[in-house]
Amino acid sequence: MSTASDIEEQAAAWLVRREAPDFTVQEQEAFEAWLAADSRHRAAYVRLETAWRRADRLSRLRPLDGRVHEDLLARSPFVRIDIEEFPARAKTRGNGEWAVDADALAQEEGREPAEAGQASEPRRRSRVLMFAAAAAIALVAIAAGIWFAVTRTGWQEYATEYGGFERVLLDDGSVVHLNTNSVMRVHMTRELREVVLERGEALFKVAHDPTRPFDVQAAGTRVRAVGTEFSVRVHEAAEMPGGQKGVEVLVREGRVAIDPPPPKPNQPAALPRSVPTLSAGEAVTVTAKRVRVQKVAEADVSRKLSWVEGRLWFERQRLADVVAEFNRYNRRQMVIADPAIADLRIGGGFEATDPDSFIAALERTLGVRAFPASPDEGGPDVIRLVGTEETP
Amino acid sequence: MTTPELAFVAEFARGLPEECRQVFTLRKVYGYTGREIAGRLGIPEHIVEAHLVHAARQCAYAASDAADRESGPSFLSRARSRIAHR
Repeated sequence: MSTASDIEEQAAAWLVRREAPDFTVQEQEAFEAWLAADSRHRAAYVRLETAWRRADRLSRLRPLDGRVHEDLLARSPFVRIDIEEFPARAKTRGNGEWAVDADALAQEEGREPAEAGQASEPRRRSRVLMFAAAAAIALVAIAAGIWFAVTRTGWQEYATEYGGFERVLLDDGSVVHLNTNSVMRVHMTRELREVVLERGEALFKVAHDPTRPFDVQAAGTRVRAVGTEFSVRVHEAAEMPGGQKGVEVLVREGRVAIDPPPPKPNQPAALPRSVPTLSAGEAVTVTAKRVRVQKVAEADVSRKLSWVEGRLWFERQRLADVVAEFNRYNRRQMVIADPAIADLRIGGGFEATDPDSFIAALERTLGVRAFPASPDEGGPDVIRLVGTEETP
Repeated sequence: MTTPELAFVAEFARGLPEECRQVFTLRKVYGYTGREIAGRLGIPEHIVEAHLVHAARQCAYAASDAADRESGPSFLSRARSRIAHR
């Protein structure tokens, strides 16, 4: 007759064995026979499995930076952090102050949430969640220019500043590269992986999961994938030739389905109502008025996605377009103050957050000159570009 | 799962022996398979399984202890925790 401890050992062994990817049909039969052999077997198994499943929620502690730390759980004691406070406090206090370690945070543990949240509006009243070492890592991520929040509805929000860039590892194993000045919300359920790109640009490397589609919504367009690699960029109205907010999707690998926004009642239907699928090397630009599919050569795909490495690559592009691209990454904005230079063609690779080197190259090779703007032209954060003939 | 439960699971993990805790972390935080854990830590797969079996048992004890703190220990769970702490 087995003792309770023996039964528990057997139950734990079955529990672990059943999780193995190579668990066989024969083993499943043996397991069922073991369960049926003694009523205490099932009871022990259920008790162990219940506790073991609860531990699955530890995946929530997986760091955002994608690195694996096998000693993650060995570190500092648990700290209480009100995560809904993150955006508000990160914004008001500035980024640098968040590069603190978990020990320092532990001292905040005893504080009342109300005290910490005085500055925020009452509707911000939020759950207090417990985080271990991951909290410290998340805070370092904030210091690096990203903040995130978990709302009551389970949406998680990520954002970057001007010139910011973040690699985000999602719970399902998908990786998102979030470009400058972007805002993204993520919601994972058993049925669907949902992302809303509110602003900016992101490259998605979607973990393959045919049972759980990966949906990205941007400016009313929905992009659906199961396992592929594609980028989505929201174009604000001012950036588009037609003055209409739009979205650009570029597929590097696999296929995605595109569902453009429904036409407004007072508008004629957009040309093709839907583009069923988009393959690798294709891009689509969607606005309320039209849907345009283009083939993109492999070299151009790499060039368009070079922002992932923090670089901007151009090939025979108009200076006006190049300047607009740089301005996405930098608070200091360049302005073309001389129409004669707007159509100069630019090529080459530049650091996205180093407009000075770009300007130096312009001055050297094209004779373009740069001047800080006077206060009535926008002040010291605006750089005016003029041709050689022009005087400032 | 409520938040204190997450705290309890991490709390219990800190009490595991070092190698066992690493195995547990790679499984539960990162979702590694037994083979992947064995490869990363450089230990045989059957040792990984043994660590997981140990962790599963300790996890169940910790869960019943946590339940006791809410409602007072039952005779059964006191007996169990004696076994666990042997």
